[in-house]
Amino acid sequence: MKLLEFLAALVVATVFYGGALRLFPPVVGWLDPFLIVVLLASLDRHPAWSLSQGMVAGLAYDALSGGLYGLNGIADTVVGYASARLQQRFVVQGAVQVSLLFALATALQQALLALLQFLLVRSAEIASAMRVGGKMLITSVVCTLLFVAGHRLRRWRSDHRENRKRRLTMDTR
Amino acid sequence: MNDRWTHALLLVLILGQMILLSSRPGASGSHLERFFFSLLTPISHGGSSVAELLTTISGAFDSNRVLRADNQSLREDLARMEEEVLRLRGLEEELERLSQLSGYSRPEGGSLYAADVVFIDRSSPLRTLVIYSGYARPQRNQPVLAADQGGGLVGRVITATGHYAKVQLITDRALSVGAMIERTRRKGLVQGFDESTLILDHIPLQEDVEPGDLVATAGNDGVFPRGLPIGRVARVTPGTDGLFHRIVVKPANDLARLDRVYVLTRQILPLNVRETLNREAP
Repeated sequence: MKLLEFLAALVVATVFYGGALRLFPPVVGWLDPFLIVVLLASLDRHPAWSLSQGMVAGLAYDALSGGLYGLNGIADTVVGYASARLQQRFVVQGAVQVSLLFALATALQQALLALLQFLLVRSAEIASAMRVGGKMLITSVVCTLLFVAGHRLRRWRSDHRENRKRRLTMDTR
Repeated sequence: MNDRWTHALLLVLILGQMILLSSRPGASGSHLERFFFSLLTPISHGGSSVAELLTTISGAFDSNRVLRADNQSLREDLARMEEEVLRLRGLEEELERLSQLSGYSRPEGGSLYAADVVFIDRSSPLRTLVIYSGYARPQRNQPVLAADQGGGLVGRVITATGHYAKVQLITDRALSVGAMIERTRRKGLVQGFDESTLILDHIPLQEDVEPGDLVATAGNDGVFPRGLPIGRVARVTPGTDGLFHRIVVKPANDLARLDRVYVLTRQILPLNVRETLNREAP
């Protein structure tokens, strides 16, 4: 994800976060919009760039939410790196593979958050297994839908460009 | 960028954030947190405002009935508050007279200013409230009270930048509030448990506690002044340690329905005293 696209995605995630908390507050407990930005950014398969984007998105979420500042920053840094690295090592192309990868990445993020809270926060409230499972499912579904939509949009744009080029070539003959 | 540099970058960033986690923030949070907070809260405020507008538009279709019900409820609230104000004025005058007679000098009362709730996240373990005040700039550690629903304690400001502030809710497990049972004046500690429950700890088993007892701030924690309502005792059971009660307290306010809050500007401990105590703390 290019820098401007990443910043735009961060702005959309922030607007969604504020709006969702006003319209339907429980949704935020099940869907982390900043994690979705990190996972979509990792589709570029560039570990260094993905981990940096993960750190920025995580620190942004930490600034808006409670808890220790840096918890989501560390977790999303590792998730961004791991997701990009896995995509480099394995062929992850279809929607099913992508959704599985994103579910595992969400599980990794939740595990890291639980570990950090357990180590650093007195009487921390650890998310239940049901919440983690629900988050994995919802995040993978939303990310997969966005991935498929992005893929179709890119294909439509390239088809449109090809058609335009063909028409211009025919007109000049 | 090759693998070695990527691994080095990962290590540096994680170590940097661990240092950030373990560092003690300044008066209003770390610089990085305040930078992100000042950048992102106006954007999320925009999202929250759009959502509120959508709610208002959808409610406009039912506006007549809703407005009448709101009007009636506001009239009742106003009548009740006028009574309460008269009663409190009488108590204030009596307290003033007694203070003069006994030579007791009361601490300054401080002042309140209103703030709007931008958003409240009480469903995730990271319970937060973000407020916006056009009247004043919130400061760290200022107590926050509900503007309606009886004016109970909501939390305290933990990060402030400009007119925005992040508030740690009383239901957050990381916040402990010095509290007392109003009826018996027995002091204990209130801590958050989940999104709508608090636990009052350190009340010995031999103390008399009953469901319905009012729990208020004790004024002994250096942050919250005495007498702010926290909630009411919901359930009393013997604790597992055999020494103290396990008292479940229901908060005075429904934190999901807060639209406006008050921020109290009173300085509980003078700044130089707090700094000395912080330096001496192990």
